[in-house]
Amino acid sequence: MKQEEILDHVLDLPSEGGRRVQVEEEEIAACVQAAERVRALEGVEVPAEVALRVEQVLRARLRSSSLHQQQSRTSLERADSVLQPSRHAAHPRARLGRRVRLASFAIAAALVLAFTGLLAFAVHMHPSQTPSGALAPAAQGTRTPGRDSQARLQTELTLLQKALSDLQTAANDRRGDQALSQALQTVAARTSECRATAAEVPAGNQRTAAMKNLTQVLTQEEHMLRQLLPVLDWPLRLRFTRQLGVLGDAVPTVTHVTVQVQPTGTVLITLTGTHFAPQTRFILNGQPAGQVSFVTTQKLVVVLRNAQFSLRSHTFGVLNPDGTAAQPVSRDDDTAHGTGTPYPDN
Amino acid sequence: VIQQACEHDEEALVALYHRALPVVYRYVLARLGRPDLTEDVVSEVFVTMIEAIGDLRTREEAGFYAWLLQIAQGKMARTVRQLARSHQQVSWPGGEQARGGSAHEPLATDLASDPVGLQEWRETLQEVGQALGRLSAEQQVVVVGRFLGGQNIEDLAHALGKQPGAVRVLQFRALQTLARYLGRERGTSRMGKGGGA
Repeated sequence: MKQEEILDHVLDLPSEGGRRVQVEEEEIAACVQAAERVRALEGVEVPAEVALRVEQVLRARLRSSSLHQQQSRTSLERADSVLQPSRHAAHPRARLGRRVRLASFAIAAALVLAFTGLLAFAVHMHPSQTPSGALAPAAQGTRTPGRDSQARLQTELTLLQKALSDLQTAANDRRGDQALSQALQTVAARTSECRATAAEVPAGNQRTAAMKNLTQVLTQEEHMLRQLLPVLDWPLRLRFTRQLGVLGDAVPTVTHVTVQVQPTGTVLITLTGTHFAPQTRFILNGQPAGQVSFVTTQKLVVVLRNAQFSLRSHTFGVLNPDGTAAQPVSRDDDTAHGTGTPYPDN
Repeated sequence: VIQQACEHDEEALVALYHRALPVVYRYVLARLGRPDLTEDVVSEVFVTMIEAIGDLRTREEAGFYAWLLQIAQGKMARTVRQLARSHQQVSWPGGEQARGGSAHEPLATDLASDPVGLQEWRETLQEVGQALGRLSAEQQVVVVGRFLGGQNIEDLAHALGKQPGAVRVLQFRALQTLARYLGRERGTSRMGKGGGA
């Protein structure tokens, strides 16, 4: 077996917990390691806002190009129908024979007859329309904006439901944090697209029906996110909570943290934010810690022993009894990935 | 889906976009190292995809990825040329963008609250991106298609119009180059850290 075949065979072997089988040959082992380093790029997450922005660019481009094609076709058809008589009018001056003129006349007459017949048929089929309305082919070809946005909303809602189904599957199959995170990103992007499309539906009965459909799917989304919360790790729990906030749920947020080292050998941590519940727990580096001494919906005071705390980097957070969670958003990173490490006040 | 996309079906095109986005994004980010440029290039790649999909001859995923990665290579080369003309940092500034913690920071999910792990992750991303730059365009397509796109050798061979054996050789040589370069980089990086300490 050649080296490249052995390598390919080894690369196709399943990895067990990230460890490949032992490869004796040094060169092949180095290649396998290099492949693993490339595979590590799968850890790069595509930011949801980037995915959404690019998708919007693509959809806009697709719609403008299809509209352009439609308009081009209509213009060509119009140009044809306008040019047809003038071509025939110019020909007699070019010494055309009598037969040609007769033939042209016959074709023109046939066209007029056919057109009149079509017109009569159109008026018959749409008695409410005036003949001038039936004469506007461009208007017939274009869809009304309301109907268009309604149809698009239906498509978007279907895609959102598909994204929700994928999220549920990823959770059921225990596909890991990355897959869940990616599925949630898609759900978030679809939700945003649905809302944007619903906003384009003109006010009236259509809009009422559209908003009803949207609310139904968003309620389904909310239930699913809440149902999955208990099984999530801390970083994912934060993301799911944020999406629940996007849906309009009352979820906790942390806007400010102060840390005071007390002379009694304890540390007093005060978190300010919103929607803290009476049984909210304080989370230090992803784990419950300390003793909550005071809590309102906007303030949480926790006492920690000095031993539990040092002045190095920490991640503070809160966990509500319903499973929603929050941690401070750092200034540089509004996506709440930051460690949110505050400096002691004293 | 590819068949429908080739007929300019909007939903099929968007579905293809969502499927290919992670692969293209990771590849471009690794090569350019700048999230701000990555978004622009990725956007251009997919706009080109919807404009030119009618020309795509294959209906297989590996062929589609190979085609898309080649478009990405062209867009990246053009971006790099433009930046070089305007005397801007081309790739991996190693400073503000990679380490500044911007809103577009390329994060791994489980490293959000681990600064040391995050720093190592950034270094890995930078090294792999630079190492990929040492490969030929065709080798890059094979490596990215295989390890990020999850394609097998036979499909890649079909997509590239080559024999599977030839693609295995391409893969082997590409990984040898990567291994050499990554080994050297890691060594340099460790020596640098040791010397500084």
